[in-house]
Amino acid sequence: MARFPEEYDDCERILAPDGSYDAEAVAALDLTDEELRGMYGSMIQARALEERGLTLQRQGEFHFWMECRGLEASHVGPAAALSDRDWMNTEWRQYGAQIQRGRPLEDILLFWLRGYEEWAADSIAEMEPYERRMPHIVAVGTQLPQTAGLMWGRKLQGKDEVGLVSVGDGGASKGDFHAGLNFAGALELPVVFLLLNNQWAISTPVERQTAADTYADRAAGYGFEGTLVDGNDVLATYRATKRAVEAARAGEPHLLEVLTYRRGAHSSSDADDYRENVDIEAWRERDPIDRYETFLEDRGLLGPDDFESIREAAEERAREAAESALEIAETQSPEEVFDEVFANPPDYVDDQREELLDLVDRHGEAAFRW
Amino acid sequence: MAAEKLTLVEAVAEAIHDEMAEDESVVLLGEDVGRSGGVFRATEGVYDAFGPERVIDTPLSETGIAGAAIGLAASGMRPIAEIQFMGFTYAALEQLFTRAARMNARSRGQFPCRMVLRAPFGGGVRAPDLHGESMEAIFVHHPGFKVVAPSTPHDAKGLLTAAIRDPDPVMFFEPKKIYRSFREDVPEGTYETPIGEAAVRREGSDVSVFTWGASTRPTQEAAEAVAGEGIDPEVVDLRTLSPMDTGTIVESFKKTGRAVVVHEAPRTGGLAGEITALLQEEALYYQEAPIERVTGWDAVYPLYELEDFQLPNAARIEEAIRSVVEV
Repeated sequence: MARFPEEYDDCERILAPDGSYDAEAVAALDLTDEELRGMYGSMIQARALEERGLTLQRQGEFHFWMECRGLEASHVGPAAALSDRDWMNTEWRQYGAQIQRGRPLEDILLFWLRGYEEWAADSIAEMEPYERRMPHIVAVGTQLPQTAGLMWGRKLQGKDEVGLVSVGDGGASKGDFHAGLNFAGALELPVVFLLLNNQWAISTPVERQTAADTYADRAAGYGFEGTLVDGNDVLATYRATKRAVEAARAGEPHLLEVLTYRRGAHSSSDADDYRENVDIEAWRERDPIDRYETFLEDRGLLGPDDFESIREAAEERAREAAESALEIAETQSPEEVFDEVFANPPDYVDDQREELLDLVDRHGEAAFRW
Repeated sequence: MAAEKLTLVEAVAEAIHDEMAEDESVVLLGEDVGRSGGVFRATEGVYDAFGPERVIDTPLSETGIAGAAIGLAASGMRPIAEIQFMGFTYAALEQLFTRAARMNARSRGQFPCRMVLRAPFGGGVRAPDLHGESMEAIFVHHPGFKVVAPSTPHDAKGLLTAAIRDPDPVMFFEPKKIYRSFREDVPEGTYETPIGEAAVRREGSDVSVFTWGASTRPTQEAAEAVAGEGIDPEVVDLRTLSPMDTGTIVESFKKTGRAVVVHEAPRTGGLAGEITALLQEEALYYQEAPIERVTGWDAVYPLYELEDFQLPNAARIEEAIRSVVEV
């Protein structure tokens, strides 16, 4: 059985699934109309990018895709709450978070095509907000102690920066979850831990990950505060993150659990044949974009025509970004195998590169392609 | 340059101290590295000199230490992480293999993983399980690491200094059996012993003996013993295991045509196999006899009194030298 925010007395919410909202709470957010529309744009862009990505995966252009349908608010709200100087270490599927911080779509897609990432900035000081991240991790949970170390370093350098790091309900079962939160607590590091409880780790439901009712309660074990939020309410996730970031800036880490539901498959490789449709339906009724549209309309910020044009523009951007990314990725050459294996490479790297290039030269690249 | 007589462990402490004085971005973290000065006293005096901001006693978690060191490196700091024993790095392998070794590649050079992970390795101190491991080969096998194992106080200081300044993650394995076995002149002030260069400890013409770490001692003893019988061995201390100084290894073998490889680590999958393959590829036609391996047994590390049978001793090494020379 899936979990639902309304089952918890202390689960924070501003926007109800039907789009009704707490007007006082909205006023207290102190968000401009532009900012409110911006979060909508990020959610729509994430969904459009996913549709494009899944289509291209089915067509064999992309190797793999991780799905974010229904999770958009839990990704965008927290990202919107950061200052430009803060850091954000996301999981792969948090497209909306990366978009909200300004990461070009092409850059997101290139990661899927090449498996590595690039930064335009030469140094941390020159980084755009979206560049203030470590490369994506694959071993879930390992990013937590790493982010503790990252923010420890920035703190030692006298920087007033906070790190937001995400982990899922599955990753929270790993020992690194404990190590990361414990280091941050014991060393008083400016880190906000964003626990994206989407209730499924591939086919394993959250009740198999933990006997506890919430993850937020775990914070007590580390000597700091935890908060539980309706993850499909972009405004509540924004507010809770904002508060957590302020606490972290003052030296107290925070554990923020956003309760949501992964309606899509885990990834393009997942048959998704292990769960009840009734849960997916129940969460579809709690869709984060639907309720936010009702809110935006009610506030007179956007209307149905705007929704339509924003969606179309997002689809067009996704299409263009995909085309451009595919073109760039096509130019990969065999010698890139050895790129940046070391910052200060030993001679054997050059020797092996030459060996490979000589082979490719003699046999032709086609002989290697499969 | 003035010099002082130091043990290997004192040389380690001095390298850390000098680099922290030289470069403000160097920080030290680990279990008991601060107030206590480390379980082997390898960080003695560092806390007093640099204080709790830069010398941090962390919570007890190797994955936390390794993960935090990786993050510190990403932030622009130069962390030196201590893991109390090589056997405890097992708890940190996920961080090291999935991240430290590949962050530079996966970020296309944006986030080099400038960190040193120090751990005492090898047996010979009659300690409990996991305190006597020699698993250096697994780090050599994973691309992206540099792997260093000094055998003298002079090299310990120079190599550690080079490791701290190196932009790549360096696994720095210290032979704990000989932490305090002898003193030698160690120059005052900072200097680097280059990573990737082997040292010929004894020049000879009959047989090349390749080794590193604590095994260098019994190897040198064995070489002197057989020298009394008219055999002239060359002893090569690899010092760096990755990148291995293949030039020096091959050159020595071309001169002698015979080789013995000595390491504490278990035989199967050990680096002696790698060195043997290298010699087959690069110098087969110089070979006069089968290459012998004198290694730890393929046994779960035997403890306490049984350690004596695990570690290569002079008698075994002498026998191997005689056997390849007699062919």
